[in-house]
Amino acid sequence: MSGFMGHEPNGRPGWPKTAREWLFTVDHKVIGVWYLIGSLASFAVAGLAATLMRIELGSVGPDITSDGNIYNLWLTMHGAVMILGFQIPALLGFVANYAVPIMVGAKDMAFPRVNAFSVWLLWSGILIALANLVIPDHFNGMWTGYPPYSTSDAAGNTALYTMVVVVLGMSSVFGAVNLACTVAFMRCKGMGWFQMPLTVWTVFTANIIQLIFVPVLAASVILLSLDKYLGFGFYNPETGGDVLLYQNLFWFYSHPAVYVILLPFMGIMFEIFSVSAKNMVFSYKSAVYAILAFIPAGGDVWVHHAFVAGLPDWLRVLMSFTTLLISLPFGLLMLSLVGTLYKGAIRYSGPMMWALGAWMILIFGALTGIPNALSAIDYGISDSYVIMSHFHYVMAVSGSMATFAGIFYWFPKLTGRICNETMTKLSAIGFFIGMNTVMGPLYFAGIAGMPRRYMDYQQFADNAVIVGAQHWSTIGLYITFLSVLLMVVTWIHGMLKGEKSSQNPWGSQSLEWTSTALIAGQGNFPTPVEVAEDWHPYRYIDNPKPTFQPAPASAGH
Amino acid sequence: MSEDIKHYTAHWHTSPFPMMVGFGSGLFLPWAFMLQFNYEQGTAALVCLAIGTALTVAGGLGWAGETIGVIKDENWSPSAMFMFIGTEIMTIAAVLVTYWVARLGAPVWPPVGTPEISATEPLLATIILLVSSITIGIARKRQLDGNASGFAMMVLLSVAIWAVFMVMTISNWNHLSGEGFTIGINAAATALYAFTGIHFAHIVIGILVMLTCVPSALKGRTSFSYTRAMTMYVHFVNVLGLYVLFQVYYW
Repeated sequence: MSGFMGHEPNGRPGWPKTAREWLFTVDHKVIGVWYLIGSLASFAVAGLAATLMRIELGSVGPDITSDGNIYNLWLTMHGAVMILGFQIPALLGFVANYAVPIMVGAKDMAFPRVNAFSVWLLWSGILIALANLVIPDHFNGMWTGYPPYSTSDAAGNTALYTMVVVVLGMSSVFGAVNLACTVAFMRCKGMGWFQMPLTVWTVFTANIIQLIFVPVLAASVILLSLDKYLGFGFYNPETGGDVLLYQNLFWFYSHPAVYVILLPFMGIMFEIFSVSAKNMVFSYKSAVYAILAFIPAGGDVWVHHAFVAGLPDWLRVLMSFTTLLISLPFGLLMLSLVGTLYKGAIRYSGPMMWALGAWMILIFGALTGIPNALSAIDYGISDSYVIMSHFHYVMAVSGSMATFAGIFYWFPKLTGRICNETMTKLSAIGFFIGMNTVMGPLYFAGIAGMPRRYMDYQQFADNAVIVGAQHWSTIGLYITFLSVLLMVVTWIHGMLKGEKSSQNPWGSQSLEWTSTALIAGQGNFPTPVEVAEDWHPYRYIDNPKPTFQPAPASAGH
Repeated sequence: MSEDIKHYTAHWHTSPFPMMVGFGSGLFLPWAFMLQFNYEQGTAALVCLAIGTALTVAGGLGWAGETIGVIKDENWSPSAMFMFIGTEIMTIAAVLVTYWVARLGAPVWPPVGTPEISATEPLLATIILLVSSITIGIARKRQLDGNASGFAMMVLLSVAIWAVFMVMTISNWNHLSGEGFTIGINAAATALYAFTGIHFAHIVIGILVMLTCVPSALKGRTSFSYTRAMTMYVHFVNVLGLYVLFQVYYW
């Protein structure tokens, strides 16, 4: 490595050394690591809640609890923490902060202090959410928080639910504004919009979706607390309010939230597919337009969550159509992913195995989503295990696999070392088999009539399909648990004993691998980086090398 | 490697203030709300409120002190504020949807039995509020003229105008509740208190935002970018006040 790329006086890269530099940091990479730690801690808590639920459902009758209130706590914590604490912060926090600024050749985010403020808001939200485990009146109204239950005393501390959503929402909004400004104004000299890596495009678009839709969710949950504690009547029919209105407001954000998660993890898949196949992303511009199409297409599908709520026929037909419409940009992205692999000399590295697993799971999940969009079919399967399995495949399992693929992919930049290849691949295969065993059988249980959110299924004790599916699903949990354990061991082993990584272990053309130190220091680039007009992050043949301007970068804070 | 580059890359930039504002506003203030309304622990709520407010205000002032007029003015703040105002509009639109659903679903509006309310006091308050758009405009002009202390004085005048508006709003709420027009009696009352309350919250935040740039200005340091963003927010809150007035009192 040349001294030019080193970011410390001795020419070597490195992380901050003191507690002050870590805690009071305004650097996007260190903040990205804080997001990563927060999101992985959330994954552990939410995963533990899922584990407890699955063990409870392993057989008919009580296994580890007979208290429905406790089961509802696990259910609430699993959904809320997994989505709001793990997935969104991992993708729009860690990936957006750690990778995006370097990928566009920026010295930091546009507003470094706002960035630090966002991450501490996230940690505040996580701490409030964790308090739900210890307070006597824990909130148990699921991550959806539907009234009238959530405004009743039986739901527990509704204010906690409101505050978690609002604080995490504020974190998201400030983060989204910052990211949008970074991408819009801080791209390095020469980098046009169509020279941005697709991870940047997907994160940028996901943040635009956040900016438009998060405020609606925040407003809807604030109104819940106003109703419950201050006597307002937004969702109270007795004073002229409307209970169903909450469902509409909630899903107006929460369905686009699926794309907030889906887009960035597909962006990670694009990075890994392209670099593993050493192929230009197939139909790059179409992929960009498809990504952008998620903004309008994702904003008019929320009503399908209320198909069984007594809507007029014309609205259900219209919303079936708009829901199916989302298949078009999604299909284009999947086509682009397949095309990127076509005739490529594919290197099946550890991250690639995780990304391939995510891709296959995504196909299963997406195909089972098409019938759900049809209101006639949805009438039969609404609130059943079919729906639960579908969204777990699309969002939870595929999203998690792609997120972990991203962590393995950027692991050398985080630690300077590379994870053991065999252990990485084994953990990916284990997770793939485990989660398919957890969720696959539950489709059949759903078709056989198993409803969501039940802590027991005594009434289906004679139904061999449901009992068998629950049994196999619990076995799948143990496989998944072992694979996650192996993944964590692989990370720890990689950090402590892993082979030292070269500057660009995957052979990427993107700036974070080619134009800065392996572990970049403050400011990323000692002098501003510049790319040529025909440079492209996915061009592997005759790609002009980035150059550097002679003057040092400005202060950047 | 040149000395400049060595100096630049050797130090990790740090600031304690974002963490103070983050935990103050994101952790302590929410707990103050929960302790007050969910657990009815008034004293504990007050302690949390005090800690949260102190952290937020001190952090905000410290943040402003080490950035306004100190770091390079990149002029991205107005774009960020434009986006932020967009999110504000979406938040208010969500509440507006609940209002219109209730209103269009009601056989008569306002519902039968709603006490008559007077719009005189809110009208007067809103007129006073709108004056702050002029004073903040003068503040910006003074900043462009290089008159930092004059800028600070006009910002403080704008804050004072908003404080008067806040007092008048609270007074109006007291009158309304005294006449039996309380929050939960029907959807019309819910809407009035919700919209005026949302606007009131914006006023509180706006005052904090305006105050953050005063200490720096009194030391002769201002930021063109920050001032432009701040004035955008002030005008937005004023327009919102005008809209709320027409929506809940005249329409």
